[in-house]
Amino acid sequence: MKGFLIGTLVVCSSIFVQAQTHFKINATYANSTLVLDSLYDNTYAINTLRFYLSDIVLIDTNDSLIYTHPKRHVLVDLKHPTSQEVYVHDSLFDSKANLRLHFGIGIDSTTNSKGAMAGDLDPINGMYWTWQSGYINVKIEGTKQLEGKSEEFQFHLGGFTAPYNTYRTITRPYSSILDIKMDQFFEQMTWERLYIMRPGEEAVDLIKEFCTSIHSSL
Amino acid sequence: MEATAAKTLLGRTLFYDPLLSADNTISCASCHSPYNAFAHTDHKLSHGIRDSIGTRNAPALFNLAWQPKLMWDGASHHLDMQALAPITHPGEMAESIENILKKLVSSNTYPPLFQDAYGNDSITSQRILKALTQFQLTLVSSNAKYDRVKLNKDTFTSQEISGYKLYQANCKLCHAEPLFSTYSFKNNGLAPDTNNYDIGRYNVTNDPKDSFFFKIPSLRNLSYTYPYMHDGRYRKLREVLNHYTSIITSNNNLSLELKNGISLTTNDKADLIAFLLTLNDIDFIFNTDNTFPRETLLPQE
Ligand code: HEC
Ligand code: HEC
Repeated sequence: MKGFLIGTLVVCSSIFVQAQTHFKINATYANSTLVLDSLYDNTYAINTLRFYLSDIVLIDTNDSLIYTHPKRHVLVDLKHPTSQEVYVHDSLFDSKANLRLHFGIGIDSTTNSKGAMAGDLDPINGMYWTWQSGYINVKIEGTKQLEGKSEEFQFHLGGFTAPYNTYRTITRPYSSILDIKMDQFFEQMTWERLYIMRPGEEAVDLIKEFCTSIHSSL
Repeated sequence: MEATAAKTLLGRTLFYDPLLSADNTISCASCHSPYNAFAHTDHKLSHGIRDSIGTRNAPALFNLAWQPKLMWDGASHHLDMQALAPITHPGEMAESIENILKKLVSSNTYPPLFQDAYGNDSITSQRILKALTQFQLTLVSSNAKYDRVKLNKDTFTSQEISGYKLYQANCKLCHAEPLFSTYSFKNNGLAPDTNNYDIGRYNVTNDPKDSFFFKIPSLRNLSYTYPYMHDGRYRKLREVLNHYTSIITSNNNLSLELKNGISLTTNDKADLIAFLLTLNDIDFIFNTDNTFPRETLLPQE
């Protein structure tokens, strides 16, 4: 009887473990988890970091599609830590070692042309430009200390039409944690402008840098 | 009521309801009046909340389904999302969608309208925006004298025929039939406006080639949509024609279609105006399906 119970428990829990797992998309500064509103290097503080992940898939070494996330667009907001956890079904693969995660940062142009949508794409989330239509793919806001003065910065990065399409896809080795290294992102920036609020060359460059700052933490 | 009709009624009610503005004073119709083919004629530039003055003339609203891009500079590419611009603009309606949702949920009027339109009374931004679109898509103007002539139900006068030929020779490449616009972006030779120095499409594309390019407006319903141009600088069609005959063709930004200049005699101008007036669609202007919805907004009367 005892053996039977333990046996069932083991079977149940292993099904549970196999069925779902998640990876976490984490922001870091100097290798530790970024805390909103904290001052780093006596220079930077971030109070908003919000962005879209789109069309998340897992692919294996043969480039075969193993898994497609059921939600096409996921809004990640550092103010809501649960939004940083993206669930993926785990049951299809035995070893995660050789899998790669492939996803888009932002909202593709087809979705951008669809009109009013709900859920993560609801304009109420503050990720839609009103004066010029289009989703903000990545929103980064905070302060920077400049010669003893605290200056605000706001980067609303988006734009979905050529030549300033900011939608980008990236592929990384699968890992349960992906880090966005904000120190790396800030280092790459020229800081010529503290406000970037519209599609254009600057937005394209910054999104590229944002993408290169995303690493699998293996 | 059938769902599409219910959605149109909901959209029409929202369009005329000042509840969509922060202090409940400005509705979409404040700037887009049915009697002006949904343009605005009192002011050159639009007037919004607390008398703030905008930077552009409110355009007429009709045949929107055929317009790939909205706004004078094409900043908006989807009718659903266009409405967010006036609603949230601090000088127009200065309201937030969040707050509108609260106002609608607690009103007596709206939950049943959402129920009829969508099968349940849940009120979301998506439903609001889709209903506004639904109503605006019903604003179709296609019953002017010109349209009746094309259907052999009416005939042009000889002056109108002469004007039609002048139109075809001079205007048609940009103001193409039957919508009387290609809805592309061009420069028609206007000097930059001195108040706002509006650079038009360049503002959206960041491409200097688009400097001072604006969306070509339709020539339908001109009798109701004055003043004309993105900044409302002309009040009379005669002034518009005088502009076209005095364009400075060496102007770098000027679109190719106008590089050869336009010359029209005084008689030509009269004939051309006579033709343009055949594009007025009175049935559209007085269509009571498009006007203030008393049944939902003033039910007690
Ligand atoms: C304060 C005046 C004002 C209010 C209120 C207003 N609009 Fe407008 N509307 C304008 C102006 C001005 C433009 C042109 C803006 C531009 O080109 O930048 C415009 C443009 C538009 C267009 C694009 C038309 C075209 O031909 O490109 C649509 C559609 C529209 N408005 C619908 C609405 C709706 C729906 C509402 C209510 C939610 C509304 N407007 C409220 C002034 C207003
Ligand atoms: C190069 C293309 C082009 C040609 C050719 C052209 N137009 Fe236009 N037209 C425009 C553009 C662009 C505007 C809007 C300009 C602005 O507001 O800055 C305009 C605006 C107008 C308006 C104002 C409408 C409104 O609602 O504000 C009228 C009327 C007009 N044109 C009539 C004519 C007539 C009549 C002709 C022929 C004699 C003509 N146009 C030829 C491009 C053109």
